[in-house]
Amino acid sequence: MQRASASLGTPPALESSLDAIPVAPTAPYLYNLAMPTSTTLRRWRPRALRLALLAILCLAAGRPPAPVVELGPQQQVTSINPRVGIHTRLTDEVEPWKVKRTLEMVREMGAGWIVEYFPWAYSEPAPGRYDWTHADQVVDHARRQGLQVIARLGLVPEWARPGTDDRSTTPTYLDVEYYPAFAQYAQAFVGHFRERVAAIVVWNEPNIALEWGYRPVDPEGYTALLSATYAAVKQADPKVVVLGGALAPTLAPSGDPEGMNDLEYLQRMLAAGAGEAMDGLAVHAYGWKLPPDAPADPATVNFARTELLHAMLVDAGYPGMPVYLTEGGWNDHPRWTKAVLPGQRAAFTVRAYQKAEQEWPWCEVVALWAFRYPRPANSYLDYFTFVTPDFTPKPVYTAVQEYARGGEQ
Amino acid sequence: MAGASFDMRDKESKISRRGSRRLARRSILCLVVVALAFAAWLLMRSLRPVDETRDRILETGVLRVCTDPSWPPFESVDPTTGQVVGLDADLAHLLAPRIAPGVKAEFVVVGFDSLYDALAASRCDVVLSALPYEAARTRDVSYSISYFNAGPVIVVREGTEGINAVQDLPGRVVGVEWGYVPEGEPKEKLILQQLGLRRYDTAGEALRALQAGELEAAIVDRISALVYLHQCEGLRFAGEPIVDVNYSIPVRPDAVLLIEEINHILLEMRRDGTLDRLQDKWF
Repeated sequence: MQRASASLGTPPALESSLDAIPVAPTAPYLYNLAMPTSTTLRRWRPRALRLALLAILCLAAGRPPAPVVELGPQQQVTSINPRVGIHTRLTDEVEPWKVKRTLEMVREMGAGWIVEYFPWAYSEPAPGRYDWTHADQVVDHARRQGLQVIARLGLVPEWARPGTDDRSTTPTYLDVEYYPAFAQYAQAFVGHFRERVAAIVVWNEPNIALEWGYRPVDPEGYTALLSATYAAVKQADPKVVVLGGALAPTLAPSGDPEGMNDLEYLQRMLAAGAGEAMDGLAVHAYGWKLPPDAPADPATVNFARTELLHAMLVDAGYPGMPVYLTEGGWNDHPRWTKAVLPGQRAAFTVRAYQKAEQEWPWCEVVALWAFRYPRPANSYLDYFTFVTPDFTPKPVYTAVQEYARGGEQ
Repeated sequence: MAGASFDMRDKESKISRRGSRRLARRSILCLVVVALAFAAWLLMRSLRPVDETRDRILETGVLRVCTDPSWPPFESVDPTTGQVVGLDADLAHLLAPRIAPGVKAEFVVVGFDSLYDALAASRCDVVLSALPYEAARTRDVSYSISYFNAGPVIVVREGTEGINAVQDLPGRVVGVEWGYVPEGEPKEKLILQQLGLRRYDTAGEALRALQAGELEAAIVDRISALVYLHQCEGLRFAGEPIVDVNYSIPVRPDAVLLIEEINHILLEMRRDGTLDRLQDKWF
């Protein structure tokens, strides 16, 4: 018994105390097979623990190690223009190395900002139950590459949507009774990503019916959502920048059921008090076939339309409110009716970054659409990207990289 | 004799009784068969799937078609009439009356990235907008069979021999447009990845280089190739698309009868040459 105890490594103190307990004499075979008494349990516990540990180790050794993608050393963005940014699309990217490679290439291009979409439905699958796994991965890699993150929040989870029988809405439908739930999610998001995310965008393109759950668009309703979110978010992190708007540039005529002219929408937002519920205005600035220097005109959708939106902020009494371009740019598909040639696209894109730096002091960031798609869309949408799904850089990527490094254009 | 006669009558009576029993049995059997058939009919009727989309189309006589008319030659807006025109538009106009006589196609214009949302929200019954099949979306929509394959193809000059497939490309001078990503079966993909591809700004430029003799082959999407081949002579396809990019017609997953009919109609259109004629018209 002593030998057995010694071989099991029982501490001497315990060994002596065990010896002190009277044990009923039993035949050796009975000792092994009979139901253990409390004393035998004590004797066997260390062995059982060891066996259990061994079994766990064996199981662990049999499993392939989980793939690990290291964050790597801290990097810094080198660029002559601190406003250069890009909208990544990592929401559906499931492979960590691709997340990392994407963000490395963003840095190597000379962009210091990314805009990324963090769907509410993905992060809060049940009320109050949060899963930040993928969001953490994206934000951590972005930070390690020296990038600042602007997070777009939206997409209603199933539990906050109308009943499943209602086929007339989309996951962008948010009933007013769930505004506090969204605000709470935004609060949890900025609380979790405190000092890791620079800004959040509340919703996306609420001036088109599709993005407003196929309801008539409602600038006052959106302002109520923005206000509720702003108040909640500032409690969690007073320093995070809250961006409102992110309006779709559109010339929709008055009364169009599909959407509202972005200028009219912003006017009504500001009249409803949106200026007090945002720190900056998010703007989408697509150029279609026009160059970035084409003059702003209320009757035209172009890159410089941004100036009209900014002027409205000034007129409404918010001259210091910054503008963040969170989408925009050009497409170079050979047949799409709103596309330009690849060479034009590269030149327009570089000029857009330059223009913001030289002429728009009120513009903090120009984040164009889109860096890379996880898989080909097999349509003209593929021609908005800067690199292909397999990370082959397109001419526009090379042109921006050269510009950001201070090369001649 | 009398006894014999009695026996005969008795025998006849027995035969008659046996006959009526047989008749009764047959009648019961017939009734059982009829009852079973009726029950089966009732069961089939109750099991027949409900398709509200199809019911609505038949009720209103309108097939609502979501499309983004910014993609010629499949769909664009005719500036003179303001109507949606193109291969897809023609296909919609031909499809509608084949679903049921008198049904007409009406277009619902939405942006390309909103097409699936518009379908899900019942803004339309089908999407016809050069939409490629995507396996990732098959939980949310049912796709029809393909009506056009837009996958990448190998193009060579007329008279070029020995190039019929990817396996024939090593050692050749091959051009592609910027952004081309090699795809295909693993062996084909490997071959394509190892080729020293010459990259051009557009598919058109690659085809012009091929025509000028700078290349021995070009790999471009089938639409670009068809457009170019229609305008210029001296080039031809070498084999089938390297990978399939199948344009098809998605419907909501509960439109189970409608998708069956659309598939049936598309098969007919393949057989009777309608799809070929549409392609000839628009390329």
